Amino acid sequence: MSEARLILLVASVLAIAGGAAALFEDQAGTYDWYKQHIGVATEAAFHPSKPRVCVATQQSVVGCLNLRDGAIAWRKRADTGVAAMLMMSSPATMVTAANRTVRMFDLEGNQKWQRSLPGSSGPVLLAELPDGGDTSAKGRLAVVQGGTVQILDASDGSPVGDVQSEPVLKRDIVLVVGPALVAYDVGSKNMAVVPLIPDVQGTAAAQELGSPLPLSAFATSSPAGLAALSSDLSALCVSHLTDGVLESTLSCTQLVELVPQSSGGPWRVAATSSGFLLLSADPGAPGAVLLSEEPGTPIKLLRYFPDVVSASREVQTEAGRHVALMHVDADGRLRLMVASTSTGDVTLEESFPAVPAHGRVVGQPDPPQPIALALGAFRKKDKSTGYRALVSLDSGSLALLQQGVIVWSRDESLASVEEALFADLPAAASDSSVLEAGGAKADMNARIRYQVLGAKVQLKLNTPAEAEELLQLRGVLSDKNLAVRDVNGFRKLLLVRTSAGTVAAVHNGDGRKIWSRRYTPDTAPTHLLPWRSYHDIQHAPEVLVMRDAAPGAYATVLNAHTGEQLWHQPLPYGVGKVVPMHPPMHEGSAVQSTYILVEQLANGEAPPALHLLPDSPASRTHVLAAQRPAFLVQQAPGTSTLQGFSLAPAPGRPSGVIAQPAWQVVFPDSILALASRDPSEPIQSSVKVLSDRSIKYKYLNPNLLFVASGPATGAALDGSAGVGTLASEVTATLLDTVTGRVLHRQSHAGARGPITAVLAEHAVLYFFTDIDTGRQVACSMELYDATPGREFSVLDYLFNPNSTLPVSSFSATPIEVLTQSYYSRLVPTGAAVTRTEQGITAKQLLLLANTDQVYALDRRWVDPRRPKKQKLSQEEMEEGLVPYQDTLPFSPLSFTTLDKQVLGARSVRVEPTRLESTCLVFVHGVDLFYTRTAPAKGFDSLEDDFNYALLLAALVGLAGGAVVMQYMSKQALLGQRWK
Amino acid sequence: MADLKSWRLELESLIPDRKNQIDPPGYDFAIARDPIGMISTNKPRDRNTLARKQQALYAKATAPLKQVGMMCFMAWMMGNGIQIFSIFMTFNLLSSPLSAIMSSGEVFPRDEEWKQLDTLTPRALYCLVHAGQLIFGLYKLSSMRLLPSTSSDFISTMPVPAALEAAYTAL
Repeated sequence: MSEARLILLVASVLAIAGGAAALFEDQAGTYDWYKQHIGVATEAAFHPSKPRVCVATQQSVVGCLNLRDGAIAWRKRADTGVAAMLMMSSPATMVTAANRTVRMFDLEGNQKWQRSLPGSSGPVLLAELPDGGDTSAKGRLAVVQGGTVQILDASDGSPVGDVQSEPVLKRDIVLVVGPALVAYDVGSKNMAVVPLIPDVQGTAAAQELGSPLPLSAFATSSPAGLAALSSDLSALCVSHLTDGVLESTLSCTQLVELVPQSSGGPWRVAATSSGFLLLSADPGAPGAVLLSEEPGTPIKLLRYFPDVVSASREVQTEAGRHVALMHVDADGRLRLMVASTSTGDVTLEESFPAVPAHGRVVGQPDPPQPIALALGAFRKKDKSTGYRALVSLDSGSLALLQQGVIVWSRDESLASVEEALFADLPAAASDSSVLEAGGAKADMNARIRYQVLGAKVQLKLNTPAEAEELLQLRGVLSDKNLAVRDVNGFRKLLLVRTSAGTVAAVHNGDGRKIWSRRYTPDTAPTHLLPWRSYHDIQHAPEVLVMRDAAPGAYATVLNAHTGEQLWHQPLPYGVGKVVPMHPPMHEGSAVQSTYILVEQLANGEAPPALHLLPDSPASRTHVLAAQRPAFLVQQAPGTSTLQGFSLAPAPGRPSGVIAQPAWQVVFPDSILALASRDPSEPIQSSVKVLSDRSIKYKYLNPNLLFVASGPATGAALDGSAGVGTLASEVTATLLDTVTGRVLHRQSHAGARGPITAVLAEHAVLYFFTDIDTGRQVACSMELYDATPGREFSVLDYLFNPNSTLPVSSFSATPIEVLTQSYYSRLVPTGAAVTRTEQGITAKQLLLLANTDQVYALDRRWVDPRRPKKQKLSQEEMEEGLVPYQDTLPFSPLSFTTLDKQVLGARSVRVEPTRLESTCLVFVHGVDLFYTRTAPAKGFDSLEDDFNYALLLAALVGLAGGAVVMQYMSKQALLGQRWK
Repeated sequence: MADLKSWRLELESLIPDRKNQIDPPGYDFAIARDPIGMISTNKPRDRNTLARKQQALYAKATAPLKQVGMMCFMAWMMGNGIQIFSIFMTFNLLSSPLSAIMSSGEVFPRDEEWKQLDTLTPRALYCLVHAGQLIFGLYKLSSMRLLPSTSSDFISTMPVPAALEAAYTAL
């Protein structure tokens, strides 16, 4: 009897453990992590009143950091593709121009106003208009785009005057000089001047400036005038501004005469209040020059600073106007100089240690060079002026320097992750390697204490301090940060490639960097792919790093555990596409990935030239002699035509493979989205059994391509409503990529892109916008094989090994498409599907929403067979069908990203673990987020915080109780006998 | 009672009118009770006794009918949901008739004294009653969808058919 109770108890405990649906507050952060980034800063300025430093970054983020520890005080991300960014001084604000909108943020992160850009296309120039003593012109912002000019009041964004259209401004370089705009083409001698504020200027007529030498792109403007380098980079040409009027002719001075020490190269020109600052743009000959310039006198050299690689903007302090200049030693040490712009005197020179690198840096990188430098002044305790500087390095570090020490540094190198890939960690050889790998070996007492506290908390007998201690102990005892692989395959190495040219390995336990490898901008890789993995545990997996642009294309293989370069091959051609082949090649205990490289071709007419990687006799045989004809499909460049090619052996060719045109499909509109099945996706069953025991055969053709076509995103519609909107149609087409045959086609009238599509197993889900309602529509399709009279014989299946016949695209299979549409409250920008080792677990769709969150949507909600009635029959309920509703459900608990917002989320990467229930999810954008998810709950594992102590206590209690009861019953029986 | 199994008996402890006395070795209760039967075994049986015995056997065979009916009714009341109790119930529904059928030989032993007594028919009847429960159990299993009775039960593990061609998308 006690045994039965024990079984019941264990079963009920397991049922509770398996049934936990959402995450409790104290479980947050136990296996998920979230890294906030601000991006690689390109501009920075210190907050005028608060202890903050505000930055604008390469990742289109503006924000402020706390000066004490570098924590993010606030940040805002403009939509993709920031065209221009400006930090205004009065009022102290940040202005961004992106996605046809100008936005202004104050230094607290509040958006003050937004306004649409004046032009329709072309580069955007944002400029703060100098006040010039005239109060009416104070706090004004000029927005110039594509020959149109708009002046805005910086306080509320209201337009000052009308939009001026000035065709003369459609030139290479546009500058704001005083109250006027100056535009010129690189290499020309003429400049056009357009007055910005006609009433101030007194005349609305455009005027011309002439230069004795043709001008280069290096130019600047200052309150004192305009300066530009001549196109041969040998002379500095200046036009003074007096009373709002520029001199009509630029006067040029040879730089050799001004700065005899310099070698003479391209210079970036910046303005100071009393002249100009030239900073060498030639990395081979660094240096900076301070020049003073006053009307009526020739330009004079104040000081030449050799070896200076970066300079800040001029800053007004009590001690005068200063700039910061920075020099980097060969060992990475930084030297900061603060120089007066009026005299050229160096008021402060300090040396700082190298900014600490996060993780091991592999290779022999040059010391990181500064990208941006900002100078701030503060008052010391002895009332003198002190200086601090914020430096942003091209290695991605952002550091605050003050009084000879690095106050803090942030690692922003992973703020631009473009590709991510999971790899196995090394196997634990012995216990000592675990220790070496950073795992803390906790003593037995701590473990017992942890279990006891866990039991107390579970029975609600704890004090708040004990709950806190439990959380701390959980962190200490957790094995998630060990650098060796585990049985369940939860611990992995996450390899990432950033757009800034860094390849790094990150531990998925806490997101720490294990190693990183930095490439210069002209060798920055563009692909990160798996290369070789091994079944035995001695070998480390290898990854392929590629750069596709010719010249300079290469393929490199790195050891995933150490980052060491194993193999490097320069490619003599530009790589247009890298196509992974499936299945990979098996060489002994190694699994070698094979890729077809499609050469970049200028014209899209010719069949693509192909190369193999690795190009070996084995891989050639693997491509062609795999007993199945191979095909390649690509989109003709710049068109909406899909072309199919058959691959044939060509022994004479260098790659051994040629592509011969096989078919092409022309779409009338532009192609908005494409989706194909991942050929390595595990599929457990090829049939679906309905509740009446009838069989539906899934259509699992691996050569299936989903194409959504329609009017190009952003294209103007014919009408505003009604008939006009119906003319805009999104067409979904299912193509067979071997024959080019259209398997199914369906259209949605009154719809338009952008379209997000995902194809998994036999189901397609795509999202488009309904124009009339302005809502997002999710359309779900399920594909089934509709071959008439297809019978299934159990005997045949059991005893005939050849009962499953292979399918061919050339013998057409009729398909049955079930389809259903729903409104969606989410606006997805990307989608992925969870993936488990065997594919048995029900799949969830991971939708990357435009709110930078990831939403997990169960597949049953988008099942096209959802019945359109409220009362379901027994069979329908048994099948797990849900009554149809026109809007997809939205549960705040279903966010995979929990309460976090992954700023600028770009993509979701899913990796199966060795437990069928669980998969790993990595979301990357500017921020990084990692978590573990179980789409059908953890049916094959106990929770991580499962309390074994409580189970043990219950077992011991039951056993003790049983012994006591047995003894007591014996005594009672004896007593009865003696009666 | 364990001390009764040993043949040790203190003679001093022998008290008249106490039950737990041991029969002497060689004492047979049956012979003591019916010495005539032992002496003349070939004497024809009393026809009435035989009929009564046969009747008793039939009664024994049909006795589980009530119990089986009750079990089936309970199982029917339980519904076709798959929960812990209905699983226990169905297991019981299947296992108890099986064990009863297996051990039916012990329920209806061959009576060496009454050779003409028919034990086979009541035994078959007994088995039939239990088989009824077994059949109901199987029906229950089938209505719970736990019997692999249709072809779709075998197909879910059918491998995904291989494709003869491979197309790589360079999109």
